[in-house]
Amino acid sequence: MAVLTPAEVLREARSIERELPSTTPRLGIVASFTSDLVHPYLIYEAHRAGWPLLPWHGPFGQFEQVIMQESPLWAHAPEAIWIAMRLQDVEPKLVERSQSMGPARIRNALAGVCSRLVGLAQAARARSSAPVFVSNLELAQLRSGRPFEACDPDGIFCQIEEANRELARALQGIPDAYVFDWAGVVGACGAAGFTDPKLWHMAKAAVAAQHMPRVATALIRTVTAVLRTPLKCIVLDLDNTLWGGVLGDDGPTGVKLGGEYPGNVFREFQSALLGFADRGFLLAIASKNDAAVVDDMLRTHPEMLLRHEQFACIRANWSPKPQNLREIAAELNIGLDSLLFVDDNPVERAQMRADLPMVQVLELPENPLGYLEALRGCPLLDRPRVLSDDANRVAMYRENALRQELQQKVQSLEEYLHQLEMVAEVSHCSRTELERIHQLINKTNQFNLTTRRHKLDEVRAFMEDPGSRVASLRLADRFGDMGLVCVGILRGVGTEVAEVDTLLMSCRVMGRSVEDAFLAYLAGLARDGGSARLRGVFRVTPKNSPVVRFYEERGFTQVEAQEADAVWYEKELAPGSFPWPGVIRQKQTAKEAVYDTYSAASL
Amino acid sequence: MTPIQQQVCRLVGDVFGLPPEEVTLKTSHDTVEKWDSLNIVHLVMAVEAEFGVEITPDDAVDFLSVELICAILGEKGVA
Repeated sequence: MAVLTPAEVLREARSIERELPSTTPRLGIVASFTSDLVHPYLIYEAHRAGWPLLPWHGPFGQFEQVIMQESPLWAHAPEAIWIAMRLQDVEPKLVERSQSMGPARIRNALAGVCSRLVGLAQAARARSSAPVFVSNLELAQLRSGRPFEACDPDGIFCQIEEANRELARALQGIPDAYVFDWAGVVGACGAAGFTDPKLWHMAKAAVAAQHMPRVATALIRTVTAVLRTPLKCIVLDLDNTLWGGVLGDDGPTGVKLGGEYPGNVFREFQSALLGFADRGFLLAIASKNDAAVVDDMLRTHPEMLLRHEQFACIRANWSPKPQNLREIAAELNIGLDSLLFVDDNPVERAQMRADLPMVQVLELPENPLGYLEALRGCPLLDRPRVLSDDANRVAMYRENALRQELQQKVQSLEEYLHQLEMVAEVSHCSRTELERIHQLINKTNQFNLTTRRHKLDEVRAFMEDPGSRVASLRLADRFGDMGLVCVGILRGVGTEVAEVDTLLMSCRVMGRSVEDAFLAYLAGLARDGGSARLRGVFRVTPKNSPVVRFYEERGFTQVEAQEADAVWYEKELAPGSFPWPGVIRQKQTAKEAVYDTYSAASL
Repeated sequence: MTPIQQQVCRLVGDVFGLPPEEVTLKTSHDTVEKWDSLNIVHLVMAVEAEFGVEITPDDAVDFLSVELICAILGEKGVA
């Protein structure tokens, strides 16, 4: 991809901006330098990332004025906020005179900047649910003149690292607040020429012209990783992707894997893939090979890092790959647009793009030495937070294979469900589950009645509202623990009609009556809260057709909807009208895990 | 117009969002409303990248019309 000149970026950005609808989400920016100069680059990069954003720039340096009070920023209802404060702009003395200040005053100055940043992030959180990105601190360009400063544990550089750690820790305590790794961007661009002294003194531009594209790319990548629904599964080719050579021709001893070059390149690539599995991505195989040969390779080759247990699904056959990807998506019960296809063969990639345009395809370079960089460079694989359930997901999908085996052995669905020995643990307003609940709300597509993507602090607000309930269900069976699989939010509990604002379930547990158990629990919460009827809302999306008749099938009656894009149903909360299914045992939740709404309200 | 002048006209068009046929040697901060200090910085970056020359802050003060920009480039041996 050719690098555009500054004039070309301006021209492109202007034509992109002209086409942006007025509803384009805003990226609110408050900076201690002239962020306006990066504007065209941000427009251009957001467009390229497939996530159009329209930056709004606050007046230079006016952090508190813009964030802590009514201001045009809030009138724009931004979808994301970047707090871009540079150390050298707010504590200029640290730049040249740090030695005269001594360790304690350096520490105080840095702590002051950190607490100012954290206060700004908290203030932003109080006014909006938009994710907040706070630049971390850097003075990298000073390093060129001070080779021994890093020897001093109380010197400016060591203390900045310490301050960045404190900043990260404090931001982690604020919902949907993130560090934007400004120090990392400066380091990647090269500290020496990062700021052009002329542009700085003429226009308070912190970034030299040649580095603006990189700064914009990094910011947009960070922001969109938080905003978009993450991919779920990396589907891998085998020959010349996970090892060098062709297994069918060269045999397990002939393929290049491990040892010296080039085998070590492929082993390193496998190791990186293990890292992605640790971060919650499923791995799958789509390879044109004999299944038995692949099976043997995975089981016995001493240098393989990826083995059967790392793959949620393996398709080694001679069918066209798009068909295999369809089957993988179906087996894992995820959308085709949750798959990333990784294949060294450009013909296979082109076929995939043509046949299944919704599948993401990783562009691999011809030389395997570049594979790792291509994988790490893929913004779709960025994951802002890794939760404990994420890391266990491959195991969960393997347990699923055992369940399928059982299902084939037994005579009826009823018997299968009984033999699963399911245990459901229901709870509501459990703070410890907040992050996982938020994650499910934002990624569940199929079994999702309203697909309302509530932000983290909106969920928290529901938990604290005495008229609402945020309920969840954890499921385990004889094969394993599936973790938290259902989320429901009730509103108007205590009024005549309680409404199901949100009802969703992980598609891994569809068809096991779990939804009926959960609905029975929700109905119980509404009835215990004093409501007489339960209102179910269905909002159609391109993906939630599996639940289009959910309420009808459960004896709800359609009523006139008060929203344009929704269908409303109601059902009396009479005793016995929402039976708990007999095939699932209900487990009482341990008391300490539950955050009770009533005590929260009285705190 | 010389090729250099045409190039400068194109850059000015890109920076201020003007259709190419509207930009002439006489286009200046008097005729273009958005010709402000911020866009002068964009113009400096564009000219430096296009012609591979260094524009000093003193030069930038005179970035007020297509004609003046061409004159500054001429002084720097771009012709």
